[in-house]
Amino acid sequence: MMAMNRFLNGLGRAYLGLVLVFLYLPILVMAAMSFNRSEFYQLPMVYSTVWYERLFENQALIAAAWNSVWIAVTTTLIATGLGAAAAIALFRYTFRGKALLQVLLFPPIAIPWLITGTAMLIFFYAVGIGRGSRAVILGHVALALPYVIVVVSARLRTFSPELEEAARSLGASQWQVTRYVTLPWIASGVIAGALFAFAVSFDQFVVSYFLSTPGESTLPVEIYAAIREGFTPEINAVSTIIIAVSMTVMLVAARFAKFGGER
Amino acid sequence: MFSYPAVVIGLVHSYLPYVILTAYLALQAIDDSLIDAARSMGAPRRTILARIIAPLSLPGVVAGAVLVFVPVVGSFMEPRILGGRAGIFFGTVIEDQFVTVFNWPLGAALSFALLAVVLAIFAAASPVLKRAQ
Repeated sequence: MMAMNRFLNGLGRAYLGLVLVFLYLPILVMAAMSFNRSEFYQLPMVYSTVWYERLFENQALIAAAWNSVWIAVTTTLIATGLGAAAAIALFRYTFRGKALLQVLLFPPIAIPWLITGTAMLIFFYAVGIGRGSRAVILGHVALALPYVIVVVSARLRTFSPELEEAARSLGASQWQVTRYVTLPWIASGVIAGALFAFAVSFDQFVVSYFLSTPGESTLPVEIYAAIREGFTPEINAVSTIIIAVSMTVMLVAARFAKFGGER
Repeated sequence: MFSYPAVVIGLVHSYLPYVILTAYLALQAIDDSLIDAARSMGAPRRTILARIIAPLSLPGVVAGAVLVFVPVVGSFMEPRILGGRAGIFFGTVIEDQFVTVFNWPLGAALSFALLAVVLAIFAAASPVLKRAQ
């Protein structure tokens, strides 16, 4: 029995290791190859940062990167503000259609981005917004809002309304209650929501792809275009940078949201 | 590279974490005392797995499967990059209608058909998912 247990444990460990290798090996290979001098992935590796230097001379990629960053920051600000306000409203008040509203929050997360993206493209053309950065920001805010609301609502569930009532009874105005009682309590949830919004916008490819114009595309769209034209190690270099940034943001967000149970 | 298996491997790579996360959350929600009780009454590991862990984690596993199926059925980037000439999928056809052929009405119709498929899958999975509550 003991030997059997040890065997099963070992098997489980080996399987876990295989899954981790499957998930991370491609990323590690890509990161390693971004430091390889050979354009054709020749081994042995010759360390060089030539692709990073090339990257910083590539105006299209740099412009797209800045576009990505400011679109992500704008999206984060708008989506976090609206989302936090919506979460507080859903928490504090009961109104007609509230249950329906809460149910309607989830389909945007679950519907394929391809459908959302094409639907937004058609809709934005129909109402005259068309394509461009404005359309991309609108689309990203719409995508990020449900995430913010869900994360902030989860945090609000640990908040007791009695605290608000106590502040009210002591003469605080509605605004003071929100500013000095509610917001400090949910601050970590709001920060986590903001980081999720940033990640959703920064990593977003499909919706940006349909809504952006060639001059004003975002980084993932530019990378996709570059890959279709022909793969160069520059793409490895820029992808390595993006993964490093995204993982940092996600790890920080996970710390605030306490993802994956207690530790 | 540039084949049907390449696309499948690429998509599995992209979406495996979602299933692991949902399955993990489902497993974590199982009350450990149930397992202890079964073991104290002499149930072998296989019985515990089949009679307690599998039924209780089923909603989570189904949720993971649905969560993955939905974005994958609409994916077009992975087939485009990894599939080469074998990479003609529903998603790439829709993309072509909007980006290359500019036949937006056909693209919209295809998108809408895909939406119907996705909603049907949600409806089919909802009895199992409701048990999660």
